Amino acid sequence: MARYFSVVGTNTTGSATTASTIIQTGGFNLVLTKIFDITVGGPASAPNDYAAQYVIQRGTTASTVTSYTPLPLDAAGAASLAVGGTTATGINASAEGTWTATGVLLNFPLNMRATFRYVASPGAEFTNTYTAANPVGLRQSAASTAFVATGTVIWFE
Amino acid sequence: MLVVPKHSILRPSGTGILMDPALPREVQMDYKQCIHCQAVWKVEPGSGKMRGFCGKCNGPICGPKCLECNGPFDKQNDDLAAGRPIGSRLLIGVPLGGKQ
Repeated sequence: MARYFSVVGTNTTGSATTASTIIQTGGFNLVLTKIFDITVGGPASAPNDYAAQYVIQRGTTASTVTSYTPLPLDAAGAASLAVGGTTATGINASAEGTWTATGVLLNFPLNMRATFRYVASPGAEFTNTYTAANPVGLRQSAASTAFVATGTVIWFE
Repeated sequence: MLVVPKHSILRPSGTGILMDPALPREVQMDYKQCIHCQAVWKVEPGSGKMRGFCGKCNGPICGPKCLECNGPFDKQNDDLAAGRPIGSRLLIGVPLGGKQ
């Protein structure tokens, strides 16, 4: 039976010149994480007319992140096999891994004031490549000025 | 909810919901997913972007970069997990000594 998990994160290293990872899911060759719900928006304070581009992207080397243990949606549920760790599931990357240029799965530009939510139909979720150290990440790929973005990723495994 | 009919399809792979204070209400967009790489794109009739369909996998593909067919992404992942070469065929046969 599928187990559902959520990760909520921000990128305090948001930059206008380099891409930054908001959330990294580390299913790797441990478990298939099927991401079906993604929400991205600006911070709760100081809204402004800034623009940014966000992507869901595959990688071949994990980023260095703040460890985040995926939160089971069922409070009594078992822990995720995509465990939290500095080079596993986490948020707010401090050092970027290697992200595949042709591995962009979802790409959307967004005003800082707006919020975007993507919901996959059953059977059309984003799945990690079943290979060691190959993460799937929610990233801010470009921004008109540096600002912090907030995101939520929900998956089942 | 504002649904743009031009951007709606019967069986979407996903739905994007945009909530922007500059818009009068939220906007919903349908997406389709590539059977080979799992990339999704917003349905935009008349955009001029080249998409395609893989008859072998019976699903849409995102563009010329995904023309080469190694099977659906989930099947490729199954091959990886099982240690098989990606794109290998599943052989379903009768066990030795079994009835033909």
